[in-house]
Amino acid sequence: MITLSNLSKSYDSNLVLKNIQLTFQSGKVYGIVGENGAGKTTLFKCIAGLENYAGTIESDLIPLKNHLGLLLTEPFYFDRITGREYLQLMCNARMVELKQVDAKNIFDLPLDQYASTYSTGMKKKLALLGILVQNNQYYIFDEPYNGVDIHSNMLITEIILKLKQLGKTVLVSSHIFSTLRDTCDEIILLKNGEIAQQVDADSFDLVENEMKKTMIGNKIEQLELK
Amino acid sequence: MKYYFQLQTIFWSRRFREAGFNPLFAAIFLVSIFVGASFFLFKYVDRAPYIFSGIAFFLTTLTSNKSKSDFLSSTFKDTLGKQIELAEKMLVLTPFVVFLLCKLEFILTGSLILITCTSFLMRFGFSGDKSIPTPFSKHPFEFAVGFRRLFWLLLPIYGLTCIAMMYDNYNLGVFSLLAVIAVVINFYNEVEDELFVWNFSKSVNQFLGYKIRIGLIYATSLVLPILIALLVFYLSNWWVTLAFLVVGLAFLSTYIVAKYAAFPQRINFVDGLVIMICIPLPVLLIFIFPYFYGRAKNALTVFLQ
Repeated sequence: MITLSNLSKSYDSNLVLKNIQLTFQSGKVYGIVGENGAGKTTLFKCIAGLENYAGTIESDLIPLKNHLGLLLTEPFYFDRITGREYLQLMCNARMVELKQVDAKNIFDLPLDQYASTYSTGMKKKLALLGILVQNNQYYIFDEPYNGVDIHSNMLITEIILKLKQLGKTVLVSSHIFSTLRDTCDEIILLKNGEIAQQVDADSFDLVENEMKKTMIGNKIEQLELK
Repeated sequence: MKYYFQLQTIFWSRRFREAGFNPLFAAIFLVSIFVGASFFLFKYVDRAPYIFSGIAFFLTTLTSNKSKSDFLSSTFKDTLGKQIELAEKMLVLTPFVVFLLCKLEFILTGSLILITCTSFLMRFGFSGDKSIPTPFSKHPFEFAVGFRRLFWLLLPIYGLTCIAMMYDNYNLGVFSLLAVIAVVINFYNEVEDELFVWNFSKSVNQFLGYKIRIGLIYATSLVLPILIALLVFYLSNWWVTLAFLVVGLAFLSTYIVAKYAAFPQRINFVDGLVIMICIPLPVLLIFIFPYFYGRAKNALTVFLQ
């Protein structure tokens, strides 16, 4: 479980997160949605301890960062490190033994090639695999479906469901609402750094309609398509 | 090419200004430091010409990296990008060459220019994307990445060791040993993304200890052939050989903590200068290491607990 109390974050005078109060339970998947710049990535970085913040973040496993797998939108890779070595590095960092790496390569990645030569989707899949082999208790997936092929999309959805079944806490952000519908127990809509709505699985339509109303509005009509 | 070097002048002027120095004053200061340190080195340090050449060679390796090479190749016509890279290296060598010539070290000067050019040309043969096997995959990333980036540099250095043994030149052997450590120090020039440090479930002390331990073990394994050769062929000098090894490894450890003292930025000009000053006076490392270690602890506290 992760509890955020009065979490605020600002860059100079720009307040990007305002008094966030949230509890993320074990065995549940939470979808975080919102426009670009709504504060999703900042929220994730605060939880990971990569950003300073005001307020408190508590977890049942301490320190939280040692049990957290963080998948950022654009994973970073060194120039001359192979996929296999990247996975080794991730395991060394958490003092976990890397076993049967080829069997665990469910995305069929060319592990003996330099990771920096991978395509965008392959890089994302390797980064995801890297945090999965660490056996974390908490997971944050920032846009895991971006740039990934349809087959891997389905696989990622199944992975998230499996993590939920194993009692892990999972936070996912995605711009593809259908993927969240398939995996999430709750959806949190962030707007200008505040929680605009928080609904459970039965009321996802409310968030989707709210997003359509506020984010799309009559913008399509403005194009005057003929 | 002319405009590229004009841009470099502007770039360095900006760097000096950002560090709070007047560019002209900084240039005069650097030249004075160079001349002063060089005279000091040649007057008080044994085997100074070799150490001097080693430093020069090490500095030439700092002028290029893959992204810069790719940029130059893709921006400039034909082989102009490569010519610029080589010209940069020669520019770095110039003050060292002038000084060595003044000291009548003609053979060493020629060797230095030859090794710089050869290592530069050899690099193109291995610049493809095919992964190069490395014995350092168990503990990525510095040695795995660095070995692949600079293994072409290690081969001529091992060659120098063979020449040293063949021509009974102990100094050249010691130079090879220090050159390998200089190459290893270069492995630590790459600054990782913050997430790679954050990922470690270690305290700051454990993290720095791990980095230094791996650095020392792997560096020793790379100098081992040279070390064995020196100990076998010059057994009577065993304590001098080991002293050079210890000093080299002390520099490596200091460089590692200096890197993390500046993290997530690169080592800045002033810190680099502090380390350079320790080259003729390695005893200063006793004070410099704890200084950088303390700063590294502060810098890493944000990412590790």
